[in-house]
Amino acid sequence: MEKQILFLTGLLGLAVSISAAPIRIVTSVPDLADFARQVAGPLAQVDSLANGVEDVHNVQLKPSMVTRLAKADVFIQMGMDLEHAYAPAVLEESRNPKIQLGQRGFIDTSKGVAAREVPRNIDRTEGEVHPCGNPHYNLDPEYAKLMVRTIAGSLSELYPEHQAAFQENTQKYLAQLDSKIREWKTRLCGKNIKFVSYHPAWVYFAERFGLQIIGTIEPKPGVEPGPRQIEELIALMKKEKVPLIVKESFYSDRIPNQIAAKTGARVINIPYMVGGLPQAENYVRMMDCIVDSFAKTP
Amino acid sequence: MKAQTFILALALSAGHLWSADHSSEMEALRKQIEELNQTVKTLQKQVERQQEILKDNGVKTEPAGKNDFTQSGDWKNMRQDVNTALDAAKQKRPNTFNPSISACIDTVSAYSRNTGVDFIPRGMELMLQANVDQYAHAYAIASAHTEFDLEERTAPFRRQSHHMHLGLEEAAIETLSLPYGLKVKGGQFFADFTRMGKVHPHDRPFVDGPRSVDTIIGGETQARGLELSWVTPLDTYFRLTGGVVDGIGAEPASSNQITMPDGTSKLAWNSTDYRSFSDLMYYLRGASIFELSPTANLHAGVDYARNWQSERRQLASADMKIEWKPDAAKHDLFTWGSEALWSRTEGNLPVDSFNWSGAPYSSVAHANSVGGYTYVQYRFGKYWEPGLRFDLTCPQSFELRDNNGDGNAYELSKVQDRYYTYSAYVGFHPSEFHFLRLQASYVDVQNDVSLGGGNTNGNSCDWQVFLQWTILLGDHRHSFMP
Repeated sequence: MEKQILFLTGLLGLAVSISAAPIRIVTSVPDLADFARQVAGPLAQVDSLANGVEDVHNVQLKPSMVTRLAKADVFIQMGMDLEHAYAPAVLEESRNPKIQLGQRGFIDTSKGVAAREVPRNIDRTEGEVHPCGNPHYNLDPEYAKLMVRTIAGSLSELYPEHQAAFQENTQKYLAQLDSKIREWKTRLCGKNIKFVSYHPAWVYFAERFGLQIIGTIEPKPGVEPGPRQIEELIALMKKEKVPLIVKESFYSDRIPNQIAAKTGARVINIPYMVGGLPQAENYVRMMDCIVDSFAKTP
Repeated sequence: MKAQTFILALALSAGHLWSADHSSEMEALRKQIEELNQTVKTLQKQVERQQEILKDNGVKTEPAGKNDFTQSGDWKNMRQDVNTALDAAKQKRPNTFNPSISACIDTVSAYSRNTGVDFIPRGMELMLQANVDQYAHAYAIASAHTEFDLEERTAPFRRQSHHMHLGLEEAAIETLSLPYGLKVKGGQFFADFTRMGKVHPHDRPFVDGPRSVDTIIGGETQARGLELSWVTPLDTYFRLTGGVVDGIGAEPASSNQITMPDGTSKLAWNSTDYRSFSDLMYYLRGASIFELSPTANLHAGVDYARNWQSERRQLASADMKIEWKPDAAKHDLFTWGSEALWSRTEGNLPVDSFNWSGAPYSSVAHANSVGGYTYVQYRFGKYWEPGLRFDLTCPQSFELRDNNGDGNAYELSKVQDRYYTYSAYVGFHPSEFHFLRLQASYVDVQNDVSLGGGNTNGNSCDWQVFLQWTILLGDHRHSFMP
């Protein structure tokens, strides 16, 4: 009898430990990891493949990406071809059928995004074009809310037993985002700041906060400028009286500083993903950092 | 009215823009147009009411019907156009399930001190790939490429041998949904064997393949058969691959062919016309990647392959590669790769190969070849990538020699040559899909370091300069290759 009780107790313990195992979520970029943590809280163990420091179009493939994906229950990506340099290859090599494209464990947060800069002509003479449009929609906090809702909805479908917890966490986080969005709008909207960016990553951000993108240092996405293109950009900036050059943290300072010296514009070094700079450890802090940098423009 | 026309034109163009495969969006757009129609009608009624008021007050106005855009032919035509576009978007187009197509054009200009200047399109590949269903993925690579034999690799672009071969490089099916990290591949493919042997020529970091790989493996590890690979559930990435194929790469001709005094070639041992299980080649590869730091990876692998037939072939290799990205945010990348290879071929020498001479023969013969290469390169930013490579290849072969000095080359001798190849190269990458590479190689050949006491043919050397220009068209994915 004692043996039977011991066996049943062990079985029960095993069942409890299995049911209490956290949901293993792997995301393509750290912004999504932050959102997944906000939604799932302690119910999930969340990892990101990219760390935010890299150019997301040039992430080095690492073996730990494969081993983490192999054990994942859910994979979340931003889609719109943003992660083409690394996610498809490691996802395939993980051989985890649960999280392959089209499976329930594969979540793409771009659904519902009204894409900007959709190329009319999908041709590589246009540089590193994204056929579905500009994929940097995470820089619009309203779309961040959409991404959070998408994650919450998908996780609720996958784990209905945790739906209440997911919804409660989501509502709290959305309320926090709403409050921050009001604050960010107050600081930026109406200032009509003109700026030039290195890479065309800021269209969603600029639209949301009423900023004006006058040009980009890259003449086409992913293409470095030549001397003539730099001169043209300098002339344009002088004509438009552009006071600001936005440099994503992983780009070299050389060209932005060269342009700044000739135009008097200020160069700001800001992240476009969570983790891009040490102070951007989560989405809200990253947006704070970005908004701070823009708001200092006279 | 202009505003209405503009809105409708906008809706129409939006309809065309979204007509790819967003059927739900199409429905939403159709609803929006219907709502717009209602709004226009409401506005029209308001205008009519205003006109009546004005009329009551003695002000002349135009009849309402004249301004009713929704009743006009333009409106109806526009609606018809929108509906036609939306309905067309819902149709299954003939190319909906077409496989993805990509192509590679790989051209090489070469100068060899021994053979002069030449230019060839080294290879063209056309790749088709698609998921078959939820269980399998399939791909086929048709290629047109120039064939070289071993001798020509010393002077690789000899004009008279420009045969462009059209053929199927790979055509394989691989599973998508096996459990436990397993994957099966079947058909004709580049076997997951050695590090450089499975790499397509245009994907190599150098213009030409390392001589050691070409000599010992026989070029790329092309094979026909079945391959099973397993990514273990360990925290450290480890992939184990095993396969059963008809052969790996090209059988190295020099190891079992003898050039007769009359200029003809004979096989040192006979090949059979049929294949039993013992004739097939069985291979195994274990490969792992270790993260030495957040910016450095160490790749390591070992391989072994053999068959059990009378004409026995064994292959083995060990390889490593270190990749270090000094700054994760930049494109700079340091790479150091090395590979050591060994092969042994053995079999029974048939009597009829030599009975014309009456010379003594050995009933069993074997040839061991060893070699390897090491290279180091550094990627400076997005564009430039210089590197250095050293290759040593020591192949063994059989020759009939006049070992006893009687004036007749009747004695079967086993000879070993040594090829030292020193290369320096620089790559320029205008984009991810386009690169040029300039390479200079010095080949030092020490002929006939005889193992059988034979005579010596003397040494030779060659300078070679290559310019490679390669482009990729269409879909391009980075593969994960341990």
